Amino acid sequence: MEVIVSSKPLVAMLCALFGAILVSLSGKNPNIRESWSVAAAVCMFGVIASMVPEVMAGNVYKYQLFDMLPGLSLTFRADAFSMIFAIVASFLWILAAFYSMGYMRGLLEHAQTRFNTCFALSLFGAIGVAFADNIFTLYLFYEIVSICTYPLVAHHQDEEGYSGARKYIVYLTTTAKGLLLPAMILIYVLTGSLDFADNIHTGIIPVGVNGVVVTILYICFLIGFAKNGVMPVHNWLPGAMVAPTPVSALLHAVAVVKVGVFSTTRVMLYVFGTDQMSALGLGVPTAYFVSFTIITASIIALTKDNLKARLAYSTVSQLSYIILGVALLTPNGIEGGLVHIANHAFSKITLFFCAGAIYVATRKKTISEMSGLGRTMPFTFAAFGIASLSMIGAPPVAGFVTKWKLLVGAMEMETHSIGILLVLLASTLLNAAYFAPVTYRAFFGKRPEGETYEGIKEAPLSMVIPLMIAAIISVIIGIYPDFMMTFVNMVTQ
Amino acid sequence: MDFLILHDGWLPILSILMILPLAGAFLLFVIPGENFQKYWALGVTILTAAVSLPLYYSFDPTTHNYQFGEHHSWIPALNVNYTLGIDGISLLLVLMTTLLMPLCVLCSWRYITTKVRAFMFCLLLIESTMLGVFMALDFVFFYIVWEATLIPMFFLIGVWGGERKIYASIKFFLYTLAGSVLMLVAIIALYFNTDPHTFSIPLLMGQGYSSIFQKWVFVAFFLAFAIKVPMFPFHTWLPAAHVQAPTAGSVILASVLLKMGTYGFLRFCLPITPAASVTFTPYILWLSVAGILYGGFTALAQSDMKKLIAYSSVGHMGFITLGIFVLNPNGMEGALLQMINHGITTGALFLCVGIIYERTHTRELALNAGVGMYMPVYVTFLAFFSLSSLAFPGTNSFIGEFMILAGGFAKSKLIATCAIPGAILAAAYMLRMLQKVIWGGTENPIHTGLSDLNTREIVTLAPLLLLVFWIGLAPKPFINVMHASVAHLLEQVIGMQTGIAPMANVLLP
Amino acid sequence: MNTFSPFTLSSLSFLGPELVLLSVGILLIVVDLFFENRLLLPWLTAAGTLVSLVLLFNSPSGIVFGYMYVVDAYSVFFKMVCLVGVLFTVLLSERYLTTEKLRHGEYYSLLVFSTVGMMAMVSGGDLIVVYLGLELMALSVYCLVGLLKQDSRSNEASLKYFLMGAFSTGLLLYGISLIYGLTGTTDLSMLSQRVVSLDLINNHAFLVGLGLVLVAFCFKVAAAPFHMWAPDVYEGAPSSITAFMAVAPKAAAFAVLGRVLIMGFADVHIHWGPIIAFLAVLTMAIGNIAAIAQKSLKRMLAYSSIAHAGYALLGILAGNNEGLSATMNYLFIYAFMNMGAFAILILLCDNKRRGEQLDDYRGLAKTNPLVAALMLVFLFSLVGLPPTAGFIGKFYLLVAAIHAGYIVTVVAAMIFSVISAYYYLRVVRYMYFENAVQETAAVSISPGMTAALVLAMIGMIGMATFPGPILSFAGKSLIGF
Repeated sequence: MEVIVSSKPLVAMLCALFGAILVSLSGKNPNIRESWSVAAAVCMFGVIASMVPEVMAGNVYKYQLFDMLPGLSLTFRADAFSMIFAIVASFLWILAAFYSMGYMRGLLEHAQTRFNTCFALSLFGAIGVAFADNIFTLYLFYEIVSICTYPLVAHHQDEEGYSGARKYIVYLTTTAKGLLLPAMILIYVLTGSLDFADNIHTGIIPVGVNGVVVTILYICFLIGFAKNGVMPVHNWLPGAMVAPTPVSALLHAVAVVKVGVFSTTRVMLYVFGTDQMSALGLGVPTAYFVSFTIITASIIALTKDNLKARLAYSTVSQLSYIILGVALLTPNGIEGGLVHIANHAFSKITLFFCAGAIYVATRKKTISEMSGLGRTMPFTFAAFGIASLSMIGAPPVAGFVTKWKLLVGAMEMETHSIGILLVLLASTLLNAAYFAPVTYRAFFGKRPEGETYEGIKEAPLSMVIPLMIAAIISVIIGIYPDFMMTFVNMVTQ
Repeated sequence: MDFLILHDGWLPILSILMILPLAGAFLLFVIPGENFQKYWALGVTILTAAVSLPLYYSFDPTTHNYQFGEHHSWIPALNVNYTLGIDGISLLLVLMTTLLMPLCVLCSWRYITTKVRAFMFCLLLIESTMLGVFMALDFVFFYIVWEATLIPMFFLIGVWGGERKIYASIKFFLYTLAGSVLMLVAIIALYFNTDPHTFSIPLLMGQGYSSIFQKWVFVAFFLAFAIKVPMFPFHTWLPAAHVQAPTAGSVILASVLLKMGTYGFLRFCLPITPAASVTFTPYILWLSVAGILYGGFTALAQSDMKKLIAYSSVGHMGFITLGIFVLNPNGMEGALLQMINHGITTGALFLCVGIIYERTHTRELALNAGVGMYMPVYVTFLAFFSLSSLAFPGTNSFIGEFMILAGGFAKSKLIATCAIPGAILAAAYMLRMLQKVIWGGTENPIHTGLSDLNTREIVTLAPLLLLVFWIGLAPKPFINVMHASVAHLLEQVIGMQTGIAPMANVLLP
Repeated sequence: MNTFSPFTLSSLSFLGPELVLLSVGILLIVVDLFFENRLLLPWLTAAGTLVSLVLLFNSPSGIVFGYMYVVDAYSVFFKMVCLVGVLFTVLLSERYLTTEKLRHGEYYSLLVFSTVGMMAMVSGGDLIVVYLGLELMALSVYCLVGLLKQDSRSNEASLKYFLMGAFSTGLLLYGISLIYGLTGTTDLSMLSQRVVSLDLINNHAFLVGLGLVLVAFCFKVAAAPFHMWAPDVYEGAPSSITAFMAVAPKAAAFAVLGRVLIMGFADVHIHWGPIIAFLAVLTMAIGNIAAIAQKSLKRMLAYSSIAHAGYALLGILAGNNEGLSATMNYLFIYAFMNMGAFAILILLCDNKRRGEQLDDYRGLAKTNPLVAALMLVFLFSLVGLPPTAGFIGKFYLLVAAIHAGYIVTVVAAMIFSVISAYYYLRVVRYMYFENAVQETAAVSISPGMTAALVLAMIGMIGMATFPGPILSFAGKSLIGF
């Protein structure tokens, strides 16, 4: 492994930051504004893509921006682990940029400049999290994401929007300030540094620190990264559903929740390390803890008729897969969990894009209203069906890779394999139970009485094309998972 | 006098710093025209700031001795001298004071419409006395300037204040006066307990007074400083004073006057009465925690923006006292840095409230709801300063709070944990205010016709914003000057107790 | 001991200042009879006072008339305070008398005669001389207090003062007689020897005598609980005389107290120390707390003057040179600040208002900014707030009292000084924070008033910035005391 000192990670982030500034300055001309958005997204993806070869060769980019205190600095790193998230997020931003253009214009939304600015800033934060080299940098960008997504959630500025946004910010800042901050400081006091370890095994907490303290720290991080949607601090996520759909897509697929799970797994693997976690026996309890979320969220999803709400609970459930995989502490389990970051991202963004497309085209929100709609909007629902399969974990879509890896990882465990296997099985059935009916009813369900769907056709192309691309990629990475698996394998080696 | 490094060159820079605003104040009386008086005050404060800047560059951060020293006999019969000097603890406070004053003049440009001359006179006078507080190395002189700051502040609140200005100004005056009179008794008691009798602050340190004497002296000092800080439960004067004071008064009060209390702890309580400080540490730490929580909860309940920020000050100052009394380098340097941070951030927030008050003539959150749409530049500034106030990472307060809490955890995990809700509350009340001001609710008061910031206001706020991020991202230039002095101070406190090296060396490899 | 020096004519050379004043006093009566121009009188008095002051620093020092009359640096200091007080009073009275339609002739001559009395008190080396001086001073002041013949308050004040004064004089004489009976002498320097040689320190009769002397002087300095007369008398008297009484006779009484207690009865300090401590605290308490309730500035300043006597007692309390010099210094500073405050009060006294009520000060800062600013300085100085001269004075007192170990008394003093801040600040509040009820006319200022204010300000600033010289002067005057 070689360390390359380069500002490329920073440049990637600055693409988003400058994008945001340019967007906010060009509010008067929507076309220029949107093109800045797209340009920033493309630039960012380009810069990140340019780092791929070196990272694949096993090298790590590092760049220290500010050295603040001994052991506390603003430093970026681009390693295999961060690339998983960075590539996905930056690529999906391109799709989302096009999509949101169609969505926002289609609905004649207000304050589009603010919307686009905050969108870009959120991506800035998300990529910052991906490239963070220490807990402080991670925490900084984690908080930036929280703050910058607040205006997006409250976008409609109605009672519902405000209350959802309030819940959102209260959950996220309380956990961040109340748990992450003290945990981070305590680690600083214990180790004198906040830098992540170079591999997933050793961790940075010195030998000899009281196990109870380490466990408490671990719990602080697990719950403190509330963006990971683990129960009991998941409630902000359904609450944030009031946001416009591109935001939901961004929140649930790209930036926010992924920032949460990415941070959680980053800390689990690079701060505590697999060695320490197994030594303290933290893996299995975590696995069961998140299993509860997986099952419960799935059951709640079943009861939701609002499509976005159902998707939201699905997200809560799916995110815990990622943590579950890592908590198994077996190589296959970890790989399964991490690759799900990418898999879930593509599939879930497809689903949300579809929900948004349906809404723009028909103003319909609930599943029961969508009976028979599939025949009017075939592309959209086809994409929805593909993504659903991925969520369920059926081959050949991306989700299958995850499930496969997770099952193998669970079997590799010395104890408790049966329990975890049962959880995976149950959740797969539940996934099928709440996703399959949607597509089924859309294509084969009876149209409601008197509903003719006259004048309704597919959503604008700027929405349909991105969602189709996302769906297609979900299939591609299901069939050819090697690209993502390369990075994931590098992590576990 | 080996603790004092006399200034080189023929210019006594510290005296000049004090005399410049003083002379400027008195010259105001021969200057005609309100506009010209404003420019004069601005010029004098800028000149003072310009003169103070070289202090940083000529400061020698490797020694804990007092630099740029001046020493003249004043009252020989009692061995009272005019001794000035600054070390790593006071340097930044001096610089902060001089840099803030031009902004205070600027923010009063349109706010003050009556008795402009007298107002500027008070501003310049208080600058001079505040600088004196941070530079004095003789107790009598210190006490004189310490008390002298009350008078201009009393007038700033009483003459140019809000509706309840009389109540607020008299409460402020009597409360702080009551706190500090006992300090005078303690000062004289110290004088007689050293041999030879002296009022020289550095010479009074490390004298090994008897334990009971230290406790009494400590209590007397503590009362004075705790009221000034203000620590819970001595804080009741603060919200009244803040709310009624004009913007510049609030800024000075929050940014500098409160710091005099914490500066007092660092300069006097700890080194002069180390044993008592250590004895009382647990109580003070818990009081700090109480202040943090109390300030946070109370701020959360406020509907007046100024009151909200005033109570937030109680909480923030709680963090600072916490940092001071954990008695390790991280905590203490954090506290010192946080003193500067609080000065910058809270000062800026008060400026922001003043700006909105000038336009809407109210400080009520409900009546100022939703101005974000009409004043985007203003709310951008407000947002950054609010984030700084809630210790958002990357801003100045984060570094301070981080260091304080790091010191806190090293001292006692329990106490630090108890202070954490304060950080959450800070986020809660600041974001609440921010949300209200920028967005409001679904139905907001009508604000059409509100003009956004003008150049003068941007010039007032911009330097503070720069500092927010400068300290937040590259705090080393600010912290480096403290090391030697803080290490020496800790040696005076801890070293005298146990004879071992400061424990925190273990913490920072 | 000093050698006995019989009465000779050359002894009179030690009495230069007193003689000058005496002749000025007589001259004033004559001039009053034969000259119409009333303005001549104040300036003549002022000139006489100045000459006396100059002579004061140029006369030889020594003990004359057989231990009876002591001209030492100590007495010079107090005479200086008294003369400064008189000088101020004269300058203040110049226009005030016309406004109040007072008779000039006897006013100034009585003033001068009372000063001569004070100087005799201050220099008295023998209790009898002290008594004589005291009576000369007191009788003149009784008359001065009652000069406002048309004003019933003034009449009442004069009578009250006379009765109380006579009563206290009786006590003084009784005390002196007891002491004389036990020691066989009234000579102060002999007394201290006798007390030791006759072992009188715990003699009850002697202590009663000492107590009576103490009480008598406490009457004169208006220390609680012997202050009852003061508020009424101070309020009733012409304002200039109130100012005078608060400064000069008080200083003289303190001088005697210092000389008697510290020179005569230093060995009995264990007995009178706690009493003085108690009296000091009580005086400060009553003076400061009662002042809060006042609506009249003049009466408030009367109570404030009682309180300040309490502070001055702190120095006596210490029972050593350090303390005494602190008291001396304080009285000197007090002369300036109190005279300054009364000067403003008198300045505001014209046909339309008397300048005595707090309401008269509403919005003064707007109508007369300079007057308000000056008043401000004097008031803050009376509070004892840094960086004013008042603080310097208080500071020395505290240093002395703490050195002597009276920490609790000092703490009490500090607490009362915070309380005092409240009522002084109220005046500031009226002047600066409130608006005038009606449009008040600008004040007219006379040359005398200008001189008084300038002098007071110079004193204030000088003693605030260079406090060393006065203190060392006071300290030096006690060497060999």
